[in-house]
Amino acid sequence: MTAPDRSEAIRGLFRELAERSRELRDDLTRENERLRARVQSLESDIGMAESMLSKDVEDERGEHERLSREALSLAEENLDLARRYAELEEHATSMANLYAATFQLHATLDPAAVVRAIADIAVNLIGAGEFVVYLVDDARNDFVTALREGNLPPNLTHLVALTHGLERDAVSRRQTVFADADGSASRDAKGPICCTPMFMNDRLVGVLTIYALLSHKKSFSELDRKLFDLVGEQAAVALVSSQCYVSVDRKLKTVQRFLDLVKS
Amino acid sequence: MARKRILLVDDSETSLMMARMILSKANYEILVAKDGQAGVETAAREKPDLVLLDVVMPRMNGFEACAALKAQPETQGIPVIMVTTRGEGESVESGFSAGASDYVTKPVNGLELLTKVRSALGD
Repeated sequence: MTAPDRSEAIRGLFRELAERSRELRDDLTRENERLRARVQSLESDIGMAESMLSKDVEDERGEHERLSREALSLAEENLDLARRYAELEEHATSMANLYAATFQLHATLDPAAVVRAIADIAVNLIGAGEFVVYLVDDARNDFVTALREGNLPPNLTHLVALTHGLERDAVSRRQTVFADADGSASRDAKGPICCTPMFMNDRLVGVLTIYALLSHKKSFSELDRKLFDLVGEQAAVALVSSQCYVSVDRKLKTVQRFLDLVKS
Repeated sequence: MARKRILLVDDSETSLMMARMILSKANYEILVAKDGQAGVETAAREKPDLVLLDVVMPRMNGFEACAALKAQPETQGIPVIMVTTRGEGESVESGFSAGASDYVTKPVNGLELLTKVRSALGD
């Protein structure tokens, strides 16, 4: 091959290369355009997805806040219901206590059993640890110790005059008197912490004097005050009724024996 | 479903009446015994779901009755709640030593009693 021919061949080769380069550039440009369009489309999709997601998140956040508010409201309502349930339960227990006390006081016509019922109420419903039930002895114009419970000093025996100010105060005021006005159970050496007189109309039947509460009980409750009022009234009625019954029964038996004697 | 049965063992009529009113309201069937010995016998015969046992009782006190219940194979699995007039350590300790699951103090608080009974029964 001659030099001109070689030169022409090289030129042809360069032209071909230039043509291919142009084609390649055009291809790359088209591909670039396609990819740019694709990127734009994807960016648009991502934007839409972000927007939708953001709306969903916003909706979810709103729903979450609404549910949180609702849960809070329900918790408050639940707390209120629990409080009311506890109040109702306390009220029911209070009513049950008063019913049980009344029932027990009037469940017998035996004066000794009535006294035991008073003691039962004092221990089991009021929580008294040391106490004395004094009954009026009309014949001796004095008080008789009908029942005592707890570690009380030995001088608290049969016949007693109610010399303590608290007892005299309770009898003269005809209502339960507490050593401490707030109902707490602190007390001086061996003096009473509370005294309830038992009156039927104007007749003093006896008194219940409490010297100490059970060790775990620190003060009198509102229910205790109601129980004291109840014992003050109902125990007196029960005691008088049972004493009358015993007296009438004794007389009836005497009359019956007399009639039997007359018949025979 | 059958109502769960609770055996009340107490010599105080007032206490029995109170416990009966509180527990009947919660739909439990109530059985009653008036001293420790009768309580142990009734528990062996009736096999209640729970025994509520007073401490101070004639014939057999609550601690002795609890120990007797725990010694008998037919009653040893029955949970026992002691009802005591003393809430301090020594009395409570004696109850737990005898095998009691829990205790309540007198005067009994209705809500506390119900809560402890439900807990002992797994309600």
